[in-house]
Amino acid sequence: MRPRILRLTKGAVPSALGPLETKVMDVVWDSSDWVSVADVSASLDERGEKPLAYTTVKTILSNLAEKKHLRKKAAGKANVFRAVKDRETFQREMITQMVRPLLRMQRNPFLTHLVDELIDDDKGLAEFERLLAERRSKRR
Amino acid sequence: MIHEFAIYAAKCLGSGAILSSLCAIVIVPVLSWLTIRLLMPRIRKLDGDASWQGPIAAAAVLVPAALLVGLLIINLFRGGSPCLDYVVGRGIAVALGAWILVAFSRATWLAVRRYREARMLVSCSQPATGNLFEMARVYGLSVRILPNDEPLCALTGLFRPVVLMSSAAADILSEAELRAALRHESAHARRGDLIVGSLVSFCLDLLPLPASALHEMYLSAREFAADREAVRQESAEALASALIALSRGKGELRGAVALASKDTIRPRLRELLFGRPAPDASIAWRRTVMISALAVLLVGGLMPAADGLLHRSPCLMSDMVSP
Repeated sequence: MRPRILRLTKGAVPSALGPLETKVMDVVWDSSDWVSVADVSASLDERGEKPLAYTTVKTILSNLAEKKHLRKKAAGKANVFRAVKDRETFQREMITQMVRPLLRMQRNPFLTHLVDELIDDDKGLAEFERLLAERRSKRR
Repeated sequence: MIHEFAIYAAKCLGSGAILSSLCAIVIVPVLSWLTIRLLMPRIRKLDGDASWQGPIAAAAVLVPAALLVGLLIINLFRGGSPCLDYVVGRGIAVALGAWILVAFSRATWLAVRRYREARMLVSCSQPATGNLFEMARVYGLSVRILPNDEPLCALTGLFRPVVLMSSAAADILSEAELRAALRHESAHARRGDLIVGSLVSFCLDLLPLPASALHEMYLSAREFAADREAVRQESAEALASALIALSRGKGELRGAVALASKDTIRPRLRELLFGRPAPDASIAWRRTVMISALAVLLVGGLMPAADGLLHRSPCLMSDMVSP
């Protein structure tokens, strides 16, 4: 199962994709090569998606390139596009961006973390690790 | 007009029906504020009794908040309040009604947004397979793996609990640590901590109550309580080891989070490694006093609310101004 691409309300996640952008990115990711606007339109038609106007696809691709999700280069009179990051890397980064604020004490009442704070004190942690090892060795 | 107000106020204060009239709008917030201020230091002293401290701290927020909202709504919408005989009174009632509506919309919007954030995390995750799936099934939980490099283990889902574990956490935790972590999360699910936590958070978003310290107390106490429940069946060392592994964090996140740290990890680790300190002899007495105080507050608040629903306030301005 392919995980959904994140989209949240403004401010929660700095970068996210809209539903149409997700569909277009899916086409780009599935193609290993550079794709043109016509290629994306044709692929969307093949997938049985609701048809999008050529100009709409062109705008979405340009927006994605502006957001640095796609690389753009000229190929003759048209432009062609390619994903900057593969799907897995992109999703991993998006999830990390989303988890980060939740870990940074912006408490979400619908989540309880086993550990909701991080210790930036290596000495303190090392001390606890030593105590833990000591206790384990005593048991043995 | 001032004279009329003075007569009205004197009659209201003497009538014993003060809480069932629109006077509640002035009196009840002050009483709620004072109650919370009064209870807070006493609840803090229940530190050695985390399994009761959490619910009592939550109740100390929920009871005054529920009474406050209930009385305001009853007084504003049942009509017949003496203050409504005045233009100023009607203006205050409209302003308060609008404030309730705005505050309620804001609190609901925040709750929906946070709920969507949590659901989004679930939708980005994949169901756990293999050993982890089997372990979770034993505890009546479902585990989902979030592709993420930060070590994270959390519980979500108000009525169908789901443990969200990052792929990094699943990789670094040993089997014993995973068991202990799942026991901890199943204790949260069994105690209904997410439901209570969400209600407390909603109340704090809705009302300007001075209860953020109580909220902190509740959040901290529920972790201690879940730890204690987990170590009844799993090894304390395994849970301590899981806490250490997860509290290390990675990369730039570590410094940022440490600044905001409220430091409950160290006391939790100390308790897991050295055991619970012997409880104070007076703790049972303190607990009984707190529960009784909250019960008295609840009953004392419900009586005027019921009275307000059943009867028209006897201190009617029309009785005083008409010849």
